[in-house]
Amino acid sequence: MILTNTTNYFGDLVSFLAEKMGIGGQILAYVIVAAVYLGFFAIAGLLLVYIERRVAAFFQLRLGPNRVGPHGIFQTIADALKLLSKEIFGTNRKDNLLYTTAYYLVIIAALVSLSVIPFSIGVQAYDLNIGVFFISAVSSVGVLGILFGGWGSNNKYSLIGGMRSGLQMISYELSSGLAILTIILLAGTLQMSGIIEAQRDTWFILKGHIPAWIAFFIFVIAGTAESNRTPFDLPEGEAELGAGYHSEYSGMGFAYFFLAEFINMFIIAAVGVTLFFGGWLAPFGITDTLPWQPLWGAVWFFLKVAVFIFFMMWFRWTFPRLRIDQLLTLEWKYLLPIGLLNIVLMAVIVYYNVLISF
Amino acid sequence: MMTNNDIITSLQKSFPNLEFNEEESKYLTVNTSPEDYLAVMQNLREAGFDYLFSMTGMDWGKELGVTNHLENTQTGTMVVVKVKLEDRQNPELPTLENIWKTAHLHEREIFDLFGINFKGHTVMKRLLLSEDWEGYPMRKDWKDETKMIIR
Amino acid sequence: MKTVTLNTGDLKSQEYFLNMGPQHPATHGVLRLILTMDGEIVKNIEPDLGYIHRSIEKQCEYEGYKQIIHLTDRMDYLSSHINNEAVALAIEQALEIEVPERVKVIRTIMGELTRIASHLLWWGVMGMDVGALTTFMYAFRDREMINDIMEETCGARLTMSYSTPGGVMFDLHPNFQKRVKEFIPHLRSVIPKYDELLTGNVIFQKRMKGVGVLSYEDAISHGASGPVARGSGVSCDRRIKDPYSAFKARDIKFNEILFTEGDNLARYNVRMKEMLESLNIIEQLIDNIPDDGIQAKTKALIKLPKGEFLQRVETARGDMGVYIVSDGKKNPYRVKFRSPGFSNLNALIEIGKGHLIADLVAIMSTLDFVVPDIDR
Repeated sequence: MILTNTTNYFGDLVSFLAEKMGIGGQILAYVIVAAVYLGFFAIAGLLLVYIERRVAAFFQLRLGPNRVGPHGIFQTIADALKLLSKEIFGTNRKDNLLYTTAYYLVIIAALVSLSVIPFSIGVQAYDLNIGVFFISAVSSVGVLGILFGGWGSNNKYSLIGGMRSGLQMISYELSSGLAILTIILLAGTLQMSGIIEAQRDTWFILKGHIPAWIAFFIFVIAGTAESNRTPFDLPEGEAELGAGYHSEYSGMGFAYFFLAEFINMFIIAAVGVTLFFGGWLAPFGITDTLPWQPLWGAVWFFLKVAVFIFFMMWFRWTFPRLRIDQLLTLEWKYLLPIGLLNIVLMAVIVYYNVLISF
Repeated sequence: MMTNNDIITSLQKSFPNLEFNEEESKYLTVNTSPEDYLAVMQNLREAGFDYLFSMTGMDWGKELGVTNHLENTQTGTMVVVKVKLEDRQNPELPTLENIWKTAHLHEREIFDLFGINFKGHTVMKRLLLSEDWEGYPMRKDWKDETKMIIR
Repeated sequence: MKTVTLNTGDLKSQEYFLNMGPQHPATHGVLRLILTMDGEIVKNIEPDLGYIHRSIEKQCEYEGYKQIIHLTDRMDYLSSHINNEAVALAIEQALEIEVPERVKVIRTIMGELTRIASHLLWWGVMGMDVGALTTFMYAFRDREMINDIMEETCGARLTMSYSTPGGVMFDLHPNFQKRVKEFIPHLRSVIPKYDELLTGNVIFQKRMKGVGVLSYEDAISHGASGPVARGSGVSCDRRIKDPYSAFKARDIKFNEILFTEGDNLARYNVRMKEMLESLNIIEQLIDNIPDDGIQAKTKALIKLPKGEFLQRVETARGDMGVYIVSDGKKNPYRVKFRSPGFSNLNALIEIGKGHLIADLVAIMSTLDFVVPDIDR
């Protein structure tokens, strides 16, 4: 079930400009799309940092940033400007190639993953027919960046952080992959828009009985681990490793790692919402008859993502950190076998077609 | 409850030339020679003094030495063991590391500040001061040339 | 670097050194540990001290007895009042001064408040060390209340120098009793919340249980004291064994918290329960502070008689000893501060071995070091 006849605003823009201005127009269209995504990346990153700080303050009986601009919303922009103007300062005994490619890899992986995420009806840079698979493939490149950073910094703390990160992300990718696979069984497609379309009657979290819930929990745990956030922030583990793999980075190098972490969190939340909560679909179709459908789609999508992200932040500010052996035990002894069993269970449910739908 | 006299009589059996003193402080003080030091301490450990409260490096002007405060954790009795060394150039004492593990750091500190060498200690290096420091600042004859401490 | 080749076929593996500190978030100051690591497993620990060594013992030899008290604040700055009290008690013991009962009660209340403040700070930092960042803010909010009470009476929040030989520096602020009485129910109500936030957490329990086990015998042999020893089942509370101040003058009922497991969780629980016991102590004293003066008669220039004087008190970290050797002059001949942290550090060298680096951080946290206390 590959949907080809749906609207895609970015696709339309490309074909429109290509028709008008030939190859130059096509390139211009690509540039515009890239600029939109870069802008979104920067704004979402900064906003998420701001939200994280306010949420943290909320949990910690503090106020958080509240001086720059109304309610302090420009605080993160000021911080970004500060980081931009800072001297790039690092060790001179680094492995230069790995050290400098590290943050580009991390940020490119995050940015490329964004391209297949459907923000609303037709608002998707490229509706790849293997969308979900593409995201999990590209996010593995980010691991490489962190490994490069850890190794190239020539710092033992960074090295431990990088190695931990490799261990952790490769392990948890299996689980998140299995959780995604469980849902693919329900959807029958890897295409992001197709997955959302398949949920038009009932969201998968309800449709799939208990296996969908199990898959959801596995996905949340694995997703939190993949985005390197507490309780799985071992690669950074500031109490043990200082700052882990990004100890030796400063200025924008550090900021890239930092932003990528937040964008990864957004991507995990977006994928989770798309797979389990119907993406940009309104609950029970309550806004389906209103005009401006893409706008309403975006509203619902970002609302769901925000709730998801809030939960991830909640974890971060209340949970202690796991130890590396506990982390691996959790993955290999619990999540992975449960995930495998869960797939079988889901296959049985789908085969006998005992799905819930409204 | 072990009284001071019990300790004195039990110690005098094996070490006839120990000096005892009950006036210096509120605890019984045992003055031992460097030769008997390890054996006396071992003896006290077997007599139930299982807690080495502190080891204090001392400089009595003529002699260097160590004051040990021992406690029996069962009864709360305390005894002070003092050992004095005449040799200020190469003062040497046997280590207590094998009797009380806490001696490990205490002896390193005394080595650092008083220069008493503990034979048999696993890591006999400076602890507080840097490796290239000269002299032993807690000794009374140490000259504070840069006016670091003494105004 | 010493290279050790393990028999792993063609794969080469070697141990490496990791410099933990003096600038490291988990060492709570400037403690430096030279770790020999095999991957993430700590094989050997060698402490390198002295980054905040100010030779307080040597300085004491050149100061009068009244000045010494101000130096002791700067050792274990989290239980500074108890340090002051220890020196004051040692001097009073030497001069055979009997201080007014009001002084004893005030000192004990202040000491217990200091202990609570220290344990609160420890709890906040403990959470940070295992990755739960919120505990820090909660603990500091409540610790501020104690600091405010201190500030009102002593004029200082941390290094109070409140005890003097023969008494205390100032009388209590009129608000003191009221504010302490407000604080007691407040802390009683927040400690269950602390437990909900951190103690009951599955991850936290798994991180703590069975890690860094210090046996009963080892605790004694290492000279461990305070909550560290009590977590291993060693009954060592000086407030019971060798009562001083109001513990001697009054009949105060409180329990010595003992756990026998000797692991991180036991040490954690000891401190959490000790805070409540300290509240009990304060509660028994706060309502009847006698009114018989805040200073016993002392001379302007204190000279101790010839002799040796040892005073042991229970600070927040354990058994702190002040050992003064006097030759009858206005300066002491030799002063030794036996700090609990120094001996507890000795225990870390043994119990930290064979653990992962993350566990080492947790163990260090439950041993509760204050580095100036170790270095002096």
